[in-house]
Amino acid sequence: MMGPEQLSRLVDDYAAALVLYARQWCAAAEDVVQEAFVKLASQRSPPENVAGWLHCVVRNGARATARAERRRRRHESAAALRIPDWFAPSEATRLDAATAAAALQELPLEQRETLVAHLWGGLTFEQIGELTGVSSSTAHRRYLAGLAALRERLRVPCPKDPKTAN
Amino acid sequence: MSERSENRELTALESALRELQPRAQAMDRALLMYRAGRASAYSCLWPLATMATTTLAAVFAVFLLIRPAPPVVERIVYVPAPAVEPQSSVVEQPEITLPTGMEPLVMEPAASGPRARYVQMEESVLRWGLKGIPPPPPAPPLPDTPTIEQLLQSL
Repeated sequence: MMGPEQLSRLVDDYAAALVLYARQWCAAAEDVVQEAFVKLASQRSPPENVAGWLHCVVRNGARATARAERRRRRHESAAALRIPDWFAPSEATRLDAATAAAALQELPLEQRETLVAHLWGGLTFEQIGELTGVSSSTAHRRYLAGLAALRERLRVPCPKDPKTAN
Repeated sequence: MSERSENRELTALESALRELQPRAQAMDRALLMYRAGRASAYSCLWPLATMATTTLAAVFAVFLLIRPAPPVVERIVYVPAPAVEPQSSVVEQPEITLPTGMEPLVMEPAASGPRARYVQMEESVLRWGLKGIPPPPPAPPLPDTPTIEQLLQSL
């Protein structure tokens, strides 16, 4: 059985990334993540790969919640057009949080899911492949495609080559 | 060369994206820990006990439905006969003569005895009044009363 300290540490490590992951499908992402942690606490023995297990539970929960939300918001198109509030705004980052979130939202779901799970969830491509039911090479391909699409949308300038800069 | 440049761009974008911190401000941490504590303390004792007693009740119900009928045991029971009471002597009842034009009161046969006679007389009185009272039975003949001379002679 998982102790409160261990659970608290896991919440610190994964909660924000999992909320971002769940937001790829549904609006009530916090509730989905909370359910996932409650389910984790009720496990007799903690899963071997906690991060992968949590992502899997959150994914299933978010998809189920998204189905319910779609039924509820069938005629509410305004909510879908709203720019997502996915990242905490910060002056220290090179990218604007809102712009990055908007660009990320325009990506296809499988690319978005792979990017979020790898960049913020810390999952390997093998774990993402298991999670999404594809091979690790497919997951990697999706990741690269998503990054390339984001680069186009965000127009990230090419960093100077240290050899040619001098 | 172009591929290297593209890879550099993607790596730079990757690191720039990693700098962004996902927002999870609506997460109620206290509620989460409370619910997690409840979930971890959940015991399977009560569900098991409920399941066991329900199964036992179902088994008893099945036994009750399919059990064979109890066997009929025939036996002779000797019951002591009640003692016969001696019959009481029958008392003749005076005949009631009703006034002319009056119908006799039909009464249900009642048990004989002084109470039945009383009830019958009460019914007659309530219906016919004093006329309903039957004439008293004839007085027994009185013994001869001695005259004064006879009494004086006996002294």
